[in-house]
Amino acid sequence: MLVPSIMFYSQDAGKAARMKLQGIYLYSFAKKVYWPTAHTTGDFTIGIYGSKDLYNQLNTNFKGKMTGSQNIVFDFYESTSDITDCHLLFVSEEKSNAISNVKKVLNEKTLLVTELKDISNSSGNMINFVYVQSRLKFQLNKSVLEKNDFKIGQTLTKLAYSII
Amino acid sequence: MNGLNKILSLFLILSIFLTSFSQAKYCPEKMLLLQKYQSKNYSNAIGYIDTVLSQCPDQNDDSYFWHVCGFINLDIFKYLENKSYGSETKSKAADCFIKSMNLDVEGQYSERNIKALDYISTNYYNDAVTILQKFAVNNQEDAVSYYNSYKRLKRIAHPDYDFAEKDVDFYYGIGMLFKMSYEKDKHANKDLLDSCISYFNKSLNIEPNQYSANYNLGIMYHNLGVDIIMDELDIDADLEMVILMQEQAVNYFSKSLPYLKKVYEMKPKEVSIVQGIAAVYYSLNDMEKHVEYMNILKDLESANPVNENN
Repeated sequence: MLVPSIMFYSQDAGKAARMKLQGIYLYSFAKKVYWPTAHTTGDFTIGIYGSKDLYNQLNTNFKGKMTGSQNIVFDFYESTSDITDCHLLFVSEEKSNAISNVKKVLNEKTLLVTELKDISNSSGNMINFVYVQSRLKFQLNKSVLEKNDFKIGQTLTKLAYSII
Repeated sequence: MNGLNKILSLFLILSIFLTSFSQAKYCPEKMLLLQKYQSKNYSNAIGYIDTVLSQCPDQNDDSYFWHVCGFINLDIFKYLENKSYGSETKSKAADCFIKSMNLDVEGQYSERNIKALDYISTNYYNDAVTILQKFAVNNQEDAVSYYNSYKRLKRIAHPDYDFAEKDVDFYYGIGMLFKMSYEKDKHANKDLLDSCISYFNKSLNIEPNQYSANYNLGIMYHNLGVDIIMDELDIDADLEMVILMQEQAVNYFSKSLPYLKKVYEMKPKEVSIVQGIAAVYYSLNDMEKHVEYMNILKDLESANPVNENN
């Protein structure tokens, strides 16, 4: 009996799924975190430092999306010196060693999202992606967020894996 | 099979006269039926079956009568219907031979009834397999029905027949057909997925080490996990929905692994399996294991630049 085999989705498909999940979370952060009113005009910039795949994915799937009345635009940074004025900056895992340099170039309106193993013992990090039993979750550093005048929606607080 | 048919027909013609004269009650309609059959006037012969039963009710309990009825139906199926798919005449022929067997306490027609049932059951089997081989994705229910008919008749003809080997192949094959139907339109045919998994598992219940069913279940579960995120998850979905769908995807990824590990034990040098396991570990975010299998893959590829399966 001759029957064909199923084709395996490549690892790239798994990677694309991972990027999509991260993208949805970042988009949700843009919508569910409230920036000080001084920063709610003009375009809303999401900057990506490190993961070109994530940037490409966001630029493809989330193009034209809005948060409030702001049009969301995406920016990719190759190095810390490229990082410019953005509302939300995601620093991917491969650039986690550069976090301290990143913090030096951030201004007060930037919400920093990292991908570190854990942010319980680190200061200055705001939102962090963690994988818990294969699931993508996020940690909130509420005190740092509040110190920077960010207001966190109830949904994010309720769904956070941990709040520091 | 042609030789067998000729022998059966010859025997039948000879026995027509012998048996007719040996009947306790003379039934002229039965004689007419036999004559029509003998002259290969099958359409006429079949018309006499009901007449015989109404005029000579005792024929209802006559194994020879049902034996002849079986051949009339069978020959119509073979010569007039050209062995068409889903023939009711074929099914009626089988019913007649079964009745003949049940009434034939002395086993007078047993051998020929069994051979005829073998012929019909094989025909059902071939029809089922043809559907699989043609990848006739809308006919999977027919394939299942034909295969069940094959088993039913074969079991009557040979009560001790061991179906295990054929079951393993058929259940795997039909599982693949359900899978192909599902993939033609994943949203509309989602219910077919359960049938696909169920048949793969039926195949594995009989032969747990069956390579293809293990391999395909492993791949399928991984792909299902990816599909949930890539196809079903809307980018505007609420985070609650994202968490729920991620949970489903992880469940699928986790289910994939044991099947792939099993086939890896069988074929440790098969590149596609190692790629698969590495991909599953990536999807499960187990980067240590992912790297471990990527290194195995690298070794395999460098040892054998143009991969040959074991």
